[in-house]
Amino acid sequence: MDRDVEQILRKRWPHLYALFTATPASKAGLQFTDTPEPAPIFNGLQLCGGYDRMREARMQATLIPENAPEATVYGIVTETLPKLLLARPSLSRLHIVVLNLSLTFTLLTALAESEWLEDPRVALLYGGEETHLRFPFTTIPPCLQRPDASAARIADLAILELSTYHLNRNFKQKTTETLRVRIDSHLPYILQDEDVAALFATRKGRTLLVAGAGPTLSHNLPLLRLLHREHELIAVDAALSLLIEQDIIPEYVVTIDTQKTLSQLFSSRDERLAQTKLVYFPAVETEILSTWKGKRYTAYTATDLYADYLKHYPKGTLFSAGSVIHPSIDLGVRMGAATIMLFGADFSFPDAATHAEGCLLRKEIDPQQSYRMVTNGNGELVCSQANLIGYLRDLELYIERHPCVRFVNTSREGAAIKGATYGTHAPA
Amino acid sequence: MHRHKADLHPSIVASAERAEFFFRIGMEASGNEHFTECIELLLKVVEKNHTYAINELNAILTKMLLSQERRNWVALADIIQYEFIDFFNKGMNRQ
Repeated sequence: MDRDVEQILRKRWPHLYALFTATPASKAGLQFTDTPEPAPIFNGLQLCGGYDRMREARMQATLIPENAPEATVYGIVTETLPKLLLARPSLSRLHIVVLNLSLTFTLLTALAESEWLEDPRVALLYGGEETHLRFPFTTIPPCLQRPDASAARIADLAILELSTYHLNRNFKQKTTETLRVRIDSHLPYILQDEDVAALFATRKGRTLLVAGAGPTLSHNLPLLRLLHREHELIAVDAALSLLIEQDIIPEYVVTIDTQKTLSQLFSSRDERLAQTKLVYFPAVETEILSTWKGKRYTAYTATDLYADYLKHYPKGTLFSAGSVIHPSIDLGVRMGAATIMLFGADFSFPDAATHAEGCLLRKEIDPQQSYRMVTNGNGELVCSQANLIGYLRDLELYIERHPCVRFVNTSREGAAIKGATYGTHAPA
Repeated sequence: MHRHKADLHPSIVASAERAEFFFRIGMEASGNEHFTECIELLLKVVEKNHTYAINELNAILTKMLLSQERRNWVALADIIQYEFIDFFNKGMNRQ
């Protein structure tokens, strides 16, 4: 163990040092590659390049503008990237966010690279205590894959931000034109149907129930049925087949997914849906609109896709970040709800399945496969995947922006949602 | 040299280089997109030309796919840059 590194850590960051020493620093699982520049391997994951670290660091540094006065690096393995960034004359502050205490302490002391730690511009922080991403940033990517449970959220936010480039580029390039053609064909609906804004502020101070289609929805059907006697229910489209089967008829259904066909979601020809309001985004499949028995309400997202339509055919907008649960929750909030009670909002695969039993989209998963993990309400790790974790983190940011609304999660088996409390009772 | 093969070599290497870059900076999705593109181009070349050092190529591909399956992106980036691209640069017909 390197005493210099320990002394610097103790002197400069006593709080972090206390966290380091309170966490058992073990070399178990740490091996090195047999390459020209041996790279540490932790739990089967190679932590940095084994041939040319400087070349790799230069690539990672491209995410930080050359003249940036501040920069943040999520994760730390060797000194190469910090030293490269510190060599920039314009840099006056470099935040290094530690994502795994045990691994980082082991690496820092084993590699004994102390010089960069003494640079006054360096600030070591712990990811478990960070609430928001710092920009501009770059990462040591493998560190994002092995965070401590408390640092998983900030690691996920960094992964989500890095994925945004890919998602935006693909979405814009491959689908926007096709979807515009579809939206144009739906202009008769847009012109004739109600505006979702007509529903806004109509349920001030009330409790509204929101049903996602996650596996735990089927666990909580008795509670949902009970609460539905008093409170209105907003359901995501994918949950509808199960709810109808259980004779729980929601007051509102939200549909947004452009890839799903009607037959994958529900049967809108059911007579019991005659009083149910459909809140839809006009890029959905035509059959969903043409067969709906009840009243339809058009909504847009605040994205480029709908910008022209919003200008020429104004309608209300709802929050969307990739999952239908987002606009469903936002609908409840915009309607004025003081409390939103969440059912089946799992963002993970409890029961080793993608959706609740009875949902048409349900698929079983093999937990032995390589899944991303997320912490549930019981503090246990459950299988999830990158897009679901992205949706979860976007919902958490949304909740943070709505401090006047109480969000209640009715299941602890799905992913824990920061900002939501647990409960099974609506407030009086 | 097979004309089709000669046409595709630069594209395979370019896709591999892009994949490596994105894996190293943590953009897995973009890395995988270019990696898939690279493998698809490679398959087109291999099916037209049977003179490759196919055993060596197979060994590299197996390692790459295993790293991809394990989400071991930096290991995959290393194999792409220092084994796969190297294999192309040295010439594929070595058996």
